Amino acid sequence: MSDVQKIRQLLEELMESEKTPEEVCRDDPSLLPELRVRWQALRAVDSQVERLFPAPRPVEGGAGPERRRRVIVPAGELPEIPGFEIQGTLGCGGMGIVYRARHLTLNRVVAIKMLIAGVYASPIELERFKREAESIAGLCHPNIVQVFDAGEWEGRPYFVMEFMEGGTLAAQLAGIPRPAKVAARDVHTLAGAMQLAHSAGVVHRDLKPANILLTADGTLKIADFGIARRSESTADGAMLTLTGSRLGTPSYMAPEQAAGARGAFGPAVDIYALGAILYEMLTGRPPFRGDTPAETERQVINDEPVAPMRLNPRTPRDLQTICLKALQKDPGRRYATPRELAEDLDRFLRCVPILARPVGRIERAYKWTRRRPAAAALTVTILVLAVATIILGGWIQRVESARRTELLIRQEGARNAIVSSLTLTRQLVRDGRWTEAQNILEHATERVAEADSRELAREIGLVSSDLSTARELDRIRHSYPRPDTSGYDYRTAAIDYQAVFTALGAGEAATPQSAARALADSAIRNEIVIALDNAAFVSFVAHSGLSVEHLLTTAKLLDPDPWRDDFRTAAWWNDRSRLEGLLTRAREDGFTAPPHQLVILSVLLSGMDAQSDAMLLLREAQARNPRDFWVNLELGNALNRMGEWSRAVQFFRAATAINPSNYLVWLTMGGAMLSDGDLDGSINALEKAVTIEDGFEGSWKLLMIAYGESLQEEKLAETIRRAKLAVPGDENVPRLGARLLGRMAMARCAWQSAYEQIDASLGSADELDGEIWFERAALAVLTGEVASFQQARAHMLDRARDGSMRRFLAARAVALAPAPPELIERATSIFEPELQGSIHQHWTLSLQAGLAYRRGDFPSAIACLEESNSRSPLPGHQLINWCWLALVHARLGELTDARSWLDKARAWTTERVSKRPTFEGVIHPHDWLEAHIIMQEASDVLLKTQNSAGVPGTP
Amino acid sequence: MAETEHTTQAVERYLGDLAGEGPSAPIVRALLERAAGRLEWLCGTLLVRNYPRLTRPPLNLQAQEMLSSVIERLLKAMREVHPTDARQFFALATRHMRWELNDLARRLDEQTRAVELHEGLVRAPETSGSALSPNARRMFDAIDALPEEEREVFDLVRIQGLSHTEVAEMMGVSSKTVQRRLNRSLVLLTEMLGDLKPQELAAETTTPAHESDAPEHKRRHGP
Repeated sequence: MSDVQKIRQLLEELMESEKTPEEVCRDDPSLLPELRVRWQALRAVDSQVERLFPAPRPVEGGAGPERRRRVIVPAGELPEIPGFEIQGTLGCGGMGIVYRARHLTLNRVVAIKMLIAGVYASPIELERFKREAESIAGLCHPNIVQVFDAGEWEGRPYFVMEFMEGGTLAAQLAGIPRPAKVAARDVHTLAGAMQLAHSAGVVHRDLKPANILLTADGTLKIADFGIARRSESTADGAMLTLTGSRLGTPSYMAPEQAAGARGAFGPAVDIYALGAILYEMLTGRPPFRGDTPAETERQVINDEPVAPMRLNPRTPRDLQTICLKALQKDPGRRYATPRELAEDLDRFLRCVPILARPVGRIERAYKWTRRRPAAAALTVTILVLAVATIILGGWIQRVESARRTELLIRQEGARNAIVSSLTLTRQLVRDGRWTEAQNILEHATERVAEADSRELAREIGLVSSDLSTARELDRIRHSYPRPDTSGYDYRTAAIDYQAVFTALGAGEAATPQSAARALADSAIRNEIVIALDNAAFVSFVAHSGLSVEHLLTTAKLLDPDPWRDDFRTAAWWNDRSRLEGLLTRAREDGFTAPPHQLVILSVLLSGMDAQSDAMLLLREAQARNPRDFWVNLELGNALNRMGEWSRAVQFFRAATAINPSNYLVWLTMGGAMLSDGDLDGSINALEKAVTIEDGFEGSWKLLMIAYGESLQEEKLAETIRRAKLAVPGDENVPRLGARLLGRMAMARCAWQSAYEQIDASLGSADELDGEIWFERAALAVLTGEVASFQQARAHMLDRARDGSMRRFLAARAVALAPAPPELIERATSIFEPELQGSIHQHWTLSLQAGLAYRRGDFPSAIACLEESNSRSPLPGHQLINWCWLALVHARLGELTDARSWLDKARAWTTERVSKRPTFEGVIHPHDWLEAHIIMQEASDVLLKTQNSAGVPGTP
Repeated sequence: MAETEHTTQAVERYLGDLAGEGPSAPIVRALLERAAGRLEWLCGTLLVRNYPRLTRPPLNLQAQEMLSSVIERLLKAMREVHPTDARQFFALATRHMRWELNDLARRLDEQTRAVELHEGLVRAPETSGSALSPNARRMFDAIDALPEEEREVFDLVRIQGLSHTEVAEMMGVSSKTVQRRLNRSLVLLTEMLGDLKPQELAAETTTPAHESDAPEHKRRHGP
């Protein structure tokens, strides 16, 4: 057994038992170091798994979750802190790891926060940490996370604190503003807690939503007192080893902290932080948030926060005043104590006048200019204006100067917003999320005037044109292969591609070299390279658009690679052995070629009749790119062509899951499902297809057939109406609809309405024409339209003779009713050539019997009918034979036989109609019509014979 | 749909229904809703725990949109499938759920990159725990590569949130076997995800995964 396997086994043993790594390694101590590393890694992975897929039920209770917890509660590896049973890891942050543990004597669940060694390196530091922790432990307040104990384990300091199951305020806020009263009440609560801490001489210094925890019932509690200061006051180097950066975000940091006056700041920083939390609760975002921590710090130091009311107009003015007072840059102008802040909030909540006074615009402008000496010119201007206002004593100018300051602040805000939006838009464009990209871009465009930056305006223009190009390329890719009457249309796509590339400077006029240069710097270069290949393919198929050679050479220059270069050799696309060579090499490379190229290659091979190669390629491409829309669609198409409908449907379905907005995949999937007999699935898919694209008559036809086959007559009628509106010029759609409705009426024996519908469906040029004529002839007999029947019969005989209609159908139409002998002879001779090929088929024998009967050759008729019955045992096949037998026997005066055959036929047809009026898989509609005609005739003859023989009784 | 509803019962009813003549639509719908509820919850967890930054405006709205479209897609995909038994149902549902989660993670990762560029919080994880889970997608890939037996148990327990007893009942094995497969899946995942001797481990872990479920392999990548 290899070591790897051995270690696997040991790990499993560890999980299954209570043993320690040392114990399970007793037989092979050499594995211990490795096992320990793996065990640690395994626990890390387990906590990751737990984070991603948390157990649905609380951990307590239930055998399953119990066992699961065991995995992350290994004996011997978690810290062993006397008096506690460590139960698992709750989380891990920059400062250290938090464990869930049980206090053994108190029997209560606690959280233990273990700091990472190195933060408190020296023993003196550790001692100080402990003393501080003790003073924090002295803070007893319902809104402060209780610290029970502090200590050190293997050189790593830890806190024992209250266990909080409600998560952090940061997670709860999640960017959504809260109602003003709730925000005021929450900050009031926090200020109360901070008052206690400050009175005890403890300053928090890192108050922020992430440090405020919630109990299960939502009570807020402040955590992590003092820790931040310890880490801040440690040399930066120590912290950098942890996360590679400084801790936390400066968004909630007071300006004096951000300015770097380390250690020199006092309780006022907590007031500021409370203000920042209030601000975020009111507006959904902290007062400052820059592109980088440095930028945020700069804003914290220099900028005035945007008034909360401007971000959330529902903010009450007084609460805004309180918030901005807490956020004053100058610590001396903030509330002096948390209590003062709490009291003002309390006044607001009780609706009595607050003590804080709003900061005037003039004051803000003044403060701003003072803090930004760098903006010298501006400052001078404003000062001059300010001086001017004093001299002139005019208020207007004062207001004007403040307004300009506001304007500058707004301008900067707009610029930041635009930069962010552009980054996001580029990403969205690459993801193909056009609508979102468009929305964000529009938003950015709205602010461009405000930002007043030519550079940004230009960039918006660039991104916008990338967006429309990518969008258009995507639209074209989805526009083909569009089925049309002659097969598939690729020409439109080829021309559309040409238009895009011409607009990009890579059209006919450019050499591939200059085209490649024009495209090389595009932000959507990848999309363009794919589009070049696809454009080459459609040009190749459609013989239009840009030259295949030109497109492929351009793509080669932009995206060189040995296999891809060869793939892009235009001359090879006509050469099966070259294409097979490419396939072989693709296989050697593990089919790592881009999926769109694999699809093109498979279609080219398929076009050369190398179906198995094409299929292999698609399968491999699909296995490697299961999320590629085109690969799934093409594989589905290939299987569909082979008649493997249910397998085809699987891949179509995958394609619809990836891109539900392409009508073609819904259409082909609907067709495959229809072939497969899944009517409901088919209807769903086809409805989707016509919703996305209602202009393609093929989808409507299939949908009508699906409704027809599932006997949903009302739905069918409604679909016909919808289709007529959607494809008004197409006559085949209403004809097919009429035919389907006619069929349904036939199944119900509603002959008159069936006759009308079938009559309306005549004239379609498709192959069903002859069948429709037969149905019309039969229905004419059933509705007593003698003239119409005779006209249909004559028409059918004429067309059968010149070979444009099936001979069988014409002869059969003649047999439906008594006819002059010469007509019977004509029908028999017309039928003769077709008869030869199927002389022993049951349906041929039935028709032979019919024609024999019409000639008066009753013995032959009976012989043929009996033979036909022996050929097929199915009642659906035999029904017409029973009817003909009844007729022949009635004519021969053998009334008992006649009556018994007739009863048999009647019983069966009555049952059919009462059951489910459909033909599907039971009986052919033509047999159904013929049976009813002959039954009627037999019944008439029987009645006549009875009457003439004077025999009483009814048929 | 209550998360706490005893799934085995639902499954049994479902199976009974399939065997009998009665319409199975209501049961299938209940199971679908269960799967959708679970997926929604997992997506929410993924979003809140692993991508807290994206839960802020202006991205929070898009995140909501993402979630609802994910659920919609699962329901649509599942509505058109007709599993013959409960086990197959869960297999299909889980596959779709993993796809959706993976896809969501991909989109979230990409968004995060975009956000990070202008939020400046790249290296400052704000909520505890972010450091533990740098990349959910690696996890999904690794789960995908688990051998069939381990993956099925992992999926049922972790993704579908079934209890060990329920899984054991459905698969017709003992709870002990379920636990053993679950443990083993963890060992294999650790090997795949760990950066320990990647060469050797990659060879060791991927080979059995493909050998032991060769016939399943295709299906797994299929729709």
